[in-house]
Amino acid sequence: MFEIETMDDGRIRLAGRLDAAKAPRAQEVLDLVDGPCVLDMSALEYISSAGLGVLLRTHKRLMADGEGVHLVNVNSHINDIFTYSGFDRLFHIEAAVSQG
Amino acid sequence: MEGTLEFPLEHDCHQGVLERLLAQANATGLSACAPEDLRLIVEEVLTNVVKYSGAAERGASGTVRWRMWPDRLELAFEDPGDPFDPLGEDEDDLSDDERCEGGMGILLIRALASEVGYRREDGRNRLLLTFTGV
Repeated sequence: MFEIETMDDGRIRLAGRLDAAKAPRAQEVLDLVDGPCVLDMSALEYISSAGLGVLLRTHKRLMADGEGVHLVNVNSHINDIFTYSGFDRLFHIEAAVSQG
Repeated sequence: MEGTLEFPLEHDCHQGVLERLLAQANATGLSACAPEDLRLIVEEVLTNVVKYSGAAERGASGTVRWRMWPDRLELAFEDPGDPFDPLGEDEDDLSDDERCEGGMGILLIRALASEVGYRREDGRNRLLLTFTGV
């Protein structure tokens, strides 16, 4: 299961598993974003390199306008993946509040 | 316990392999590798093999040989594709584009596994991964 939706406050919420099979759908939605992009990852359970590629391509595109992608409410498992892949050096990342 | 899974190298072949390994991990009480990490490893390795080895286009099969204890997991992924050492890439040299094109999968595999190794034997690529939870 994977869901991507735009919330009332403009944030984009990702939920479920963002794997190679779901990456094209996520890319399709994020390609339409123009301007500030905040991704709420509180309900994201899993991300593979295909999903990371979607985030990176979107970030690079939006960085051309000086904005980039902000990743918020990141749980500890997903945060570990971001660290392993070097995303912590590229993105603005906010951990989930409940994270110890 | 140990076993061998043979499967056709095709799009999404990692799903069936993963189901078998997760069932075995549950039966074994595996603690050396979290289920989400095992899911990531299997997807990354087999997606790379299917996309880049050329074996899938030839209708070839791959195998995963596994040995499992509660505190240790050994996986040997084999394919008859073109010679390719995925560990030969220097992760610090990856450009952003290379990270998008699959280099990130190797970074994740290196980070999650306790030991990684590659051998080319008998016309097959062998990627050896060990997990000890350390």
